[in-house]
Amino acid sequence: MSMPTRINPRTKALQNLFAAALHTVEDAVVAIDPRATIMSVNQQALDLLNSDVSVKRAIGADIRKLMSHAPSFASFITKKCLSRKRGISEHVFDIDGARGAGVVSVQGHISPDGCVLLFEDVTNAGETDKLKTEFVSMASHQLRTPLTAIRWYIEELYEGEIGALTQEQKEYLRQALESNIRMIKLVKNLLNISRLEDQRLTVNPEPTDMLRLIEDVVSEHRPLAKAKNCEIIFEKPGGRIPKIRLDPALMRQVVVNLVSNAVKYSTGINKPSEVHVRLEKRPVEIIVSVQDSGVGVPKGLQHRAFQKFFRADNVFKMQAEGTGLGLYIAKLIVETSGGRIWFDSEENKGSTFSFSLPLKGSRYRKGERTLA
Amino acid sequence: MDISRKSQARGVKPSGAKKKILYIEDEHALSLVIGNKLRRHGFEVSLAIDGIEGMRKIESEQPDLVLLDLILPNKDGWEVLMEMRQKGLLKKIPVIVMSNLGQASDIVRSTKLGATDYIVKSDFSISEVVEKIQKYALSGRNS
Repeated sequence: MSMPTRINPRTKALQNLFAAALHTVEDAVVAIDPRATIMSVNQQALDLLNSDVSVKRAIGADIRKLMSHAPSFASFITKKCLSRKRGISEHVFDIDGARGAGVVSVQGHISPDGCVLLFEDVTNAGETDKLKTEFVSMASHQLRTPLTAIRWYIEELYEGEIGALTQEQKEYLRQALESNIRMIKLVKNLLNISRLEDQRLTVNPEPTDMLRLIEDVVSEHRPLAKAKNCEIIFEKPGGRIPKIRLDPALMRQVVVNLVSNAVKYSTGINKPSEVHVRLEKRPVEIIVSVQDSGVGVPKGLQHRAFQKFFRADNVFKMQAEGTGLGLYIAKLIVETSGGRIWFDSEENKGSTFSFSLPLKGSRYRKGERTLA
Repeated sequence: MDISRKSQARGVKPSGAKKKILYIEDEHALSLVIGNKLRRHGFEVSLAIDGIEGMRKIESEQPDLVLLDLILPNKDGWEVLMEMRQKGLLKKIPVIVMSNLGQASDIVRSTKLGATDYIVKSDFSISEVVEKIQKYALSGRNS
């Protein structure tokens, strides 16, 4: 046994807390030391791995012995996970046990202290993908075509092409048209998310001038912002920003989502407001940030800001149009492109959303899809 | 009516004849609303509900502009484009693809086959669509 015989009470408490934490998460997790000895494991992992051993008995065992029914997994551990060099390694393997055959994917997060293994049951992943693909094309056609028809007919009526309307009739049609256009956007966002989540989205990096790209987005949004008494100010960096290998269509989507959010959630139509967009160069990355003086994200809800369909209560009250997908899409794209995204916000003061992108650029990824 | 007379004039060739637009679309609601609007703007409009009828009308009616949906019964829009190219019709008649396929690959494939422009239907208001149509019909290759 590699464990020390006398354990510091604080270490013991930490171990217990860690075990409790592992118990509460949904993921199947195992932590091993650099000799492949199990330090911690949750029941979810043992279930997924078809093991009849209890958590108590698993701890201290060599994971390769415990998993002798999956030889390719054992060699993955030996070859990839015991190096002590920081990094992530992945492997997919078949298991066959008392609870039936299956396919498991494992991700090893390696560090000098050992390796944390995250397991996922991917037995039915292929089928789910197929269903998703079918749904995507169904949504694309079955929903978009009637939505287009509704849009065009309402527009014709609204424009008075079929005959003059009263002010009230026009107002009703305007409301209908707004809902219709929101739904068109929603369908489009759902299509894009499905492609991003499936990792089927093509990332096609090319030397991209982010300064120019941001400038374009900002000037496109100025007229609408002005109508809401909001000024968008682009604070350009002092030094030169080199072209970075990024997918311009994807980057544009991120900047558009952040800038349009900032304008949308800036306070009141009558009170003048400002949105500041900044671009900075750091040693290995660039940072783009969009600061508004809007309603902000309430503290208690901030951890959910990037979740799918998240919309904060204060935003609901404003009746601002939105699908709750913009930030989620932004996060998917930024992370797919090798960057990070985060924000600072205070209710009724405003928010600053920022994202970073590595100067070395994004990696090319061949998918079957691009943004809709 | 001043406005209607002005728009009337937009769809008329220098010779005085109306410009003819063929819309190949299987969704009746879409071809009806676009067709009616174009007629109000002084164009002559012909409709086809699939690629076979579309191809037949392209050859028999020799329109000034073709609006082409991609997902069509019997013969799809890409097949229509290919056939038009083989028969040398694309040199004479501009084609605007009007589809709800918004993928870059669909757009590139259509323009490579010789389409003049590509409209993702749900992204455009009907006025924007008609503006584009007017632009191409009036600067058409045989005008």
